[in-house]
Amino acid sequence: MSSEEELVKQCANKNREAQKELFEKYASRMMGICIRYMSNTEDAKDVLQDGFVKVFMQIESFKFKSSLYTWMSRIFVNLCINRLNRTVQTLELTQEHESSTLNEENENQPIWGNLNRDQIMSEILALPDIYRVVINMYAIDGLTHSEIAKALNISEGSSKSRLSRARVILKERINTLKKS
Amino acid sequence: MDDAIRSAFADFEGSVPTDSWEKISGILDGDKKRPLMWWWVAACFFIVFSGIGIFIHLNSEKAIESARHYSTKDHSNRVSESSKEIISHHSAPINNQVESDFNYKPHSAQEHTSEFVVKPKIGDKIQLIDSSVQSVSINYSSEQIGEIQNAIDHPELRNADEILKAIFNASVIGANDSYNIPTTINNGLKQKDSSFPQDKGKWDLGLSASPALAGLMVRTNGKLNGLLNKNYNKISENGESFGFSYQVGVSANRYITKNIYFGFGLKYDVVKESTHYDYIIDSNPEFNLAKSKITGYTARRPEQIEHVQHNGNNEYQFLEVPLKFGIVVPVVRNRWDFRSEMSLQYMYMLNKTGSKVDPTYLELTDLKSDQNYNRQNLGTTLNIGMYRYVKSNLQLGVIPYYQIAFNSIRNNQSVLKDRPISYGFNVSAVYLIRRRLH
Repeated sequence: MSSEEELVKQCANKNREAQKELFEKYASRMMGICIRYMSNTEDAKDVLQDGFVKVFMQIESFKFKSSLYTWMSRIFVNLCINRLNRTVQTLELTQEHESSTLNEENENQPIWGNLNRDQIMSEILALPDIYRVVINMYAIDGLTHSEIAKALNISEGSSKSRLSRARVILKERINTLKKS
Repeated sequence: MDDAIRSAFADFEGSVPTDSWEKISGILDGDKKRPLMWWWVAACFFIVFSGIGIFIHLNSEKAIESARHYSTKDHSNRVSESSKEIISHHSAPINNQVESDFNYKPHSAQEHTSEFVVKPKIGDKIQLIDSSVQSVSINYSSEQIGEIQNAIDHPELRNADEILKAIFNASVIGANDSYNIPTTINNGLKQKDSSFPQDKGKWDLGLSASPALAGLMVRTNGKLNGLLNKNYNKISENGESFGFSYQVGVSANRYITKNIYFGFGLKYDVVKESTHYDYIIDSNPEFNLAKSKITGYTARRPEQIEHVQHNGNNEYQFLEVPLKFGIVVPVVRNRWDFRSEMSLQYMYMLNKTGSKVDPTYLELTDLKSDQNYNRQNLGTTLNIGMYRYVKSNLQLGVIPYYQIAFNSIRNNQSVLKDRPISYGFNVSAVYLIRRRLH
């Protein structure tokens, strides 16, 4: 395939070779998204599979208003959220969590120190679902609080509150790691 | 902090499982591979077995013609030189017309007397030509003579193959009673020639009950494929399975030759599907109605999330009228018949009960009130197996069968196409009218 546009067109025509090419091109990055959102690898694999099936079924509706990667990543993020939402209890934020919004820390303060990406990743993955999802959506995937609130069926205030709490927990854990 | 996280993970990639593409490709193939299924396997079985039956039947006809040339000029109470010649030429044709596959074996203790063992193999081709046999005379017991007479008296056994099998079936031939085989065969054939047309009109009446494993073969409706909920396949796979079902029926078969029949019948068929649903509905589908497809899903609010738990049986009741075609090949005379039968049946759905998951919304729907079903259908059934004579005019069979409907029981407005299939054992009693002439 010469261009991404041609690749998309062929995929829309159910060309299996083109679909395979698209899969090979984006599978690693989509798997990265799945791993960031899901707490275990098995779930991430399932979402990867469901996501590409959905991509191939809906690719006719892709109009190149954004990049293909962005369009696909939205599909995968939504699938991850849907899957996490099935665990009903993760949606129920306790009063303790809701009221635990802490002061915003200095965003410019360097916090990583000598930690490598895998260590940071494992700390993000260790966050409770409700915080991990929000920090992924906001910090990495660039969604606004309004979009997050809509996707998660929560208020914007809750979205901000969870993000804030996620930062605090993450910072505490990173500091602990640095000391150890 | 957010910028730091973003820059750290902007190009984050995960390790893709090696079999991912195969799985995705399999899902995209969808139901395309399913038509390969048992239907074709069953059809192949039928063709093969029917072919074997016709082959045996045609060879039996040839054997009749050969046996009609069998004659005798002399007979005595000892094994003659001619009969020894037959023995000695067992493995090679005597002339162009003579061929015998009989495994003649002299009785070890009485080789030079009138007693010897004759053990033809089942399926042997038998051709006896008068030029090679001047005289054969063998002593038989009363019981064996009865067997011979019985064979000749039975119109369905009038081919030489069957008669000779009857004659040679005993392992040790008795000493006292004498019987002239060739004359008897010739007489028997002549005697029965006049009655041959009467044999064509015989009937079988059958009664059958069939415990079965049955269920629905589910495919998606190609035109409405886009309305299939993304979670339906998993729910269906985990929550629906074949159930124990049954059929009861009566049938009548009319023989057009002594081996081939056509028939009809009436069956009450119950197809049961076992359901054990346990799933969560956490999103609502969004539609593009112009394209009849789901465009996305909206997550339900926590209080709207529904946990579906349901165990039960879905039951589909049919009244069926099968039109049948079958082949019967006697395997062991008076003992076992091989039957290969295929039927095309009209199926009328009498009733349906139970609850089934909706393929679009995932909610449970009551089958009884669901209008998206067809009443009428066509199907086919394959029965292949052995029947045992329990009386001279009564056969019993416990034979495997496979049945499938040609079309979906759902109509074109449904997202799914369900075809009932069942397989199990057909327990049949067949009453043979004018089949036995005792």
